[in-house]
Amino acid sequence: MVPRKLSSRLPRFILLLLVTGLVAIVVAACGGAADEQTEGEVTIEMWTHDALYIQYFEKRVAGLNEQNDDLNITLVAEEMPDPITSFVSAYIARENLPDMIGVEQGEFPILMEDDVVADVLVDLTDRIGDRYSDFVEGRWALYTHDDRIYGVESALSAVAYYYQPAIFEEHGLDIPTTWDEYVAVGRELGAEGISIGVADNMASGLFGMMFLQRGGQYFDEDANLVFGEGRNREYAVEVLNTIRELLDEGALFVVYGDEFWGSTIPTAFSEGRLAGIIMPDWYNTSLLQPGVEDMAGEWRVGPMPLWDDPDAHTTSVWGGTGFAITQASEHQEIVWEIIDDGYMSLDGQLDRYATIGFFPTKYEALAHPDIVDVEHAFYGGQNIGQVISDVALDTPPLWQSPARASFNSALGDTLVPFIDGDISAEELVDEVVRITEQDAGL
Amino acid sequence: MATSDVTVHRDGRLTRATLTPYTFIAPAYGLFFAFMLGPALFAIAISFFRWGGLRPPEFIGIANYQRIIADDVFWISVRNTITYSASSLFVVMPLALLLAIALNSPTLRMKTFWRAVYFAPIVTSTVAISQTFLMLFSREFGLINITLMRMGVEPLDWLGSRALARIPVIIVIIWRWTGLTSIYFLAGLQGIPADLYDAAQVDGANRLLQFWHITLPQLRPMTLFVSVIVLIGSLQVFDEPQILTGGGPANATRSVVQYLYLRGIEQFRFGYAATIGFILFVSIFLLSMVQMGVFQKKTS
Repeated sequence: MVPRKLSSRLPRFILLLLVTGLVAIVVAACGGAADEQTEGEVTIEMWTHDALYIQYFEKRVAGLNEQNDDLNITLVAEEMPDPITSFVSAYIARENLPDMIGVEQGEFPILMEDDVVADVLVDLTDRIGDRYSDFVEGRWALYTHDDRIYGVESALSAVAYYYQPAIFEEHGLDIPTTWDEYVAVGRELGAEGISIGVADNMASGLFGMMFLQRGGQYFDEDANLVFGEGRNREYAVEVLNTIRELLDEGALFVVYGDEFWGSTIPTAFSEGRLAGIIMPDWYNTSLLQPGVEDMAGEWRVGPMPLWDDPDAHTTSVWGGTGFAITQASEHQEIVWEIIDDGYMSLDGQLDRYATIGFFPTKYEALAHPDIVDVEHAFYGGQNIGQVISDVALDTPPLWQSPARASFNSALGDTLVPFIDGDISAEELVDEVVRITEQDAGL
Repeated sequence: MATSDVTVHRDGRLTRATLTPYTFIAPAYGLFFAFMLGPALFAIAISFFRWGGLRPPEFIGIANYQRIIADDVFWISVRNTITYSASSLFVVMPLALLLAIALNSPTLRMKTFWRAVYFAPIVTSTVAISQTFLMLFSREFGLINITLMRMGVEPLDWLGSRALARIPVIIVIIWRWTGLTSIYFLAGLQGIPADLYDAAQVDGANRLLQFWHITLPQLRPMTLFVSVIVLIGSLQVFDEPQILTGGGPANATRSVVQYLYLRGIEQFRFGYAATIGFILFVSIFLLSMVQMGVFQKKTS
C-alpha cells in the first residue's frame, strides 16, 4: 500500500514530470535546425515529385561539402506527388516552405496566374546571365514569365522512337524515318495485329509531340491562346489526320488515362503486340527499362519520324522539371550554388546523365564523349546519346500560359472522342479553343 | 424555480446556473462553427469571387454561376453522379436488405463471421481496392477479359471505353457499400417484435406475406434513414471513380465531387470549385427534404 503522504504527492509528481517533458518537446520543436546550426552549417529543404532528383542532388551536395571546408550543407529532401500543389497550400496556410523546389513544367502555369510567380520564386535571369545561350533555348521557355526565368531544367526531354528491331526484321520492314513511312509501315504491321506505336489522350502525349514537332504552339510567347489560329490550326489538323489514318489502319495501340503509366504497355511490348513507342529521353530510365527489364538488348532508339517540310522540327519535347529557389528561403545564394553546380556546370550535366540518365541541356555536354560515345547494353550496345544529340539542337520550345491547365484538360477530354472516331480534327480544334476561352477568368 | 441554483434576475442577467448548459455545449458548437459552418459560409462567399489562393479574391458577382450553366463537363458529372446515386438506391439498398434478411435468419451459422465479411470492404484500404479492381477490369490482363476470351468473347475495354467505364465504377460501389448498408437493415430487422410474426403465422401468412405486411412496414423508419444516408453518400461519391478511372475517359465517369476536386485542388480555381460545392449542397439538401417528406407522408 502506498503511504498516504506519498500517494497525495504522486499525481503532482507525475504532473510535474509530464509538464517538464512537454516543455522539453516544445523547446526542441521550436528550436529548429537553424538554431542548432553552427556557423557554416546550412539546412536546405527541397521538395520534388521524383526520387531520382533526390538521389542526384544528395550526391552533388556531398561533393559541394567536400570542396568547401567552411560550408556544410544538409539537404532535407521530401518526395511528394504534386510539389506545387503542396507549395501553394502551404503558402496559403502560412506553413513552412522549402528553400528549393522542383517545378514540374505542367504546374508552372499555376504560378503564372496573376503574376504570382515573382512573389514566390526567385528570378534567376540575372544569375543565368550570358550562360543562357549555352543551353538549348527551348528549355528556358517552360519556366519563363514576363521575360524572366524562374527555373533551370532537369532534362532535354527530346523525343525519339524506341522500338524492337526484331519485329520489323521479322516482317521485312525498314524502320520508318518519315511520317509517311510510319503510316505505311504501321499499315503493314497493323494487318498482322501489331501496333507500331501508342495513341493516348494526354495533352502532351502523341498529339502534343507531333504537333510541336510540326512547328505548332498552343500559346504564343505572351501566353495568348493561338492553337486555333493560322498555321497552328493547320498543323493541328494535319497531325490529327495523320493520327486518324494510323488509327484507321489499326496501327496504334490506344491507351487512355493512367493505364499509360502502368503495366499495359510493357505487357504489350513483351508479347510482341506493340513494336515501339514515340517518347522523350526520360522514358528510357523512368519507364522503359524498369518496365521490360528482361528485354535488355532487344531495343533500339531511332529519331522521331520527320515531316515533309524543312520548317518542321526534327524532334519534339514532352515534360521537364525546373528547379527553382523560393522567395521564402533564407539561403537563396546557397540554393543557387547547388543548382548552378548540379545543372549549369558541364560536370553537373554529365554527372546527371551518368547518375539518373536525364539528358543534358547544355550544348557543350551534348557533344561530349561521356554522352555520345557511351554504349548502352539495354539497346544492344547502341550509342543512344548520339541519336538524341543529333536532334537536340532542334528541340522546339513550349510556351506557357496560365490557361494551360484548362487547355490541357480540354485537349485531353476531346482527344478521346476524336480517337474513338466521333469527332473530326477540325471539331477537336474548335472544341478545345471554345472550352479554354470559356474557362478564362474563372 | 425548479432548483435552488437557478436564479433568473429580473434584469435578465445570466447567473452561473443559467450559463452552465451553454458552457457544456459550447465546445461542440465551437468546433461545429470552426470546422463545419464557418468553412461552409466561407465557401458560399467565395463562390462569388475569382480566387486562386495566392492573391486576394476578386469579386465577380454571379459569373461562376453563369459559367457553370454552360459548363458541359459539370453537366456530364451531374449525369454520372445521378447514375451512381440511382445504382446505390435501386441496387445497393435492395441487395443490402436481402443480405440483412439472410444474416438475420435463425438457421444461419457463423453469423459473426458473415457480418465481418460483409463489413470488410469498408475497412479495406483504398489502394488495395484500386489494385484489385484494376487487375479485374484491365483490358490487357484483367481476369474478366481473360475469362471472356476463354469463352470465345472479344475482350472489352472496361476502363477505357466511354460507354463501359461507368459499369466497373458501379460494381465497386455495390461491392463496397452493400455490406455496410445491410448492417443498418439488420439492426432494423432485429428491432421488429417476434410476436408480430408469430401472430401472422397463426393467421396463416406465408413468408412472402410476412415480409410484405410486417417486415417492410416495420422497416420503414430504417429504410428512410438508410435511403437518406445512401443518397447523401452517393451524391458525394469520389473514391470509386477516382481509384478506377480518375474520372476518365473524357469525363465519362467523373462525379460532381471529382469535378470539384479537379477545379479546386488541381487547377486552383477555388471560387469555381466553391460554386460547384454550393450547388451540390443545395441539391443534397433539397433531395433529402423531398425524400423525408415522401416517406413521412407514406408513414402517416
